[in-house]
Amino acid sequence: MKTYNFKIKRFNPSEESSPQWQEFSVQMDPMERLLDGLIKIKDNSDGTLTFRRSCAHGICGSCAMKINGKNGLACQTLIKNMPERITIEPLAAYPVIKDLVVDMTQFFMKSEEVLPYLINAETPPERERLQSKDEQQKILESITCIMCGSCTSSCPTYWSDKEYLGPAALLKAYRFIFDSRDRAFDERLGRIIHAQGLWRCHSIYNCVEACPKEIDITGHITELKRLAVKNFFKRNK
Amino acid sequence: MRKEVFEWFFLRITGVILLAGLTLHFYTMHYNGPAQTGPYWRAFNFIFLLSAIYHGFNGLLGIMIEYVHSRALQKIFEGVLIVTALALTGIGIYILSV
Repeated sequence: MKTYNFKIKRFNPSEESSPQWQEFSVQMDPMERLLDGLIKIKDNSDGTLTFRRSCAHGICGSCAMKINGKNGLACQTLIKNMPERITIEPLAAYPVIKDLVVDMTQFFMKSEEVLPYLINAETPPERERLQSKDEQQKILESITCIMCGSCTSSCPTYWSDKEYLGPAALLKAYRFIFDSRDRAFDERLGRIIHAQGLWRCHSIYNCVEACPKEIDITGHITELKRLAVKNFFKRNK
Repeated sequence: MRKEVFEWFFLRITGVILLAGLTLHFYTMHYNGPAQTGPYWRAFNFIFLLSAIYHGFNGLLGIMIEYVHSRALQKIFEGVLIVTALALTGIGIYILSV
């Protein structure tokens, strides 16, 4: 067992005017994860500490937070890889509800804007709509997104411009635009080529560094830009 | 919305022109390269000028969209930037033609 110092940014906007830092000492086994440390604090030291967690296995995306200055999942961060002093903050750019819990309404609304579901009015085959291996490969990386919000929260454009769709919504658009089974190409592309869409991405790559699923989000957005330009010239022939 | 696609693409094109153009510009103007005389140099400088103005002001418009959040203010700034860009283009063309 080893002692770790957790420095947590705490804020209750309904009762306080500004965030406060609070420190906790926690005994941790090297095989434990950062999320285990937070649960220990809540169970043993301060029951009012608020954070989201659900699956605790890197799939639901609930426990995304800023850990030592970098966005990531608390459940996917092994304590043995951390220094003894750990600073934890809520994800940036989203309004804080309490402590490490942020309001992700806007984030999910951006995703809704790009129609994040399969659109295909053709009569479905008897079994599932099949894809070739190559067709699946094209969208495989984008499918692994768990919508944790780490990317959009790390994007400097999004920090200054909350109207920007953000990397997560653009990745979601990619996931369906490049899906061989989808038929809403024009409508979906139309929803990302406006001034607050694709063109606000300046290839800063913060989203790629922040993504706990290691998705090359900037690469996917670049592919969308290329597609938009190709489509523009094809239509104007 | 098609407009934004073209604007972004043209930003890339002018970026490439500027990269090559700036190299040539610095070589001829500041490192004892050949004198810039004749119609070809005039054509080069004309394209160089338009690319620089387009690239620079489109970049400024982009930054403005990200930092100015009121629609009315955005329109005002857009107008100011376009007028400034046109004025600078006019001055540039005048200098190139004398």
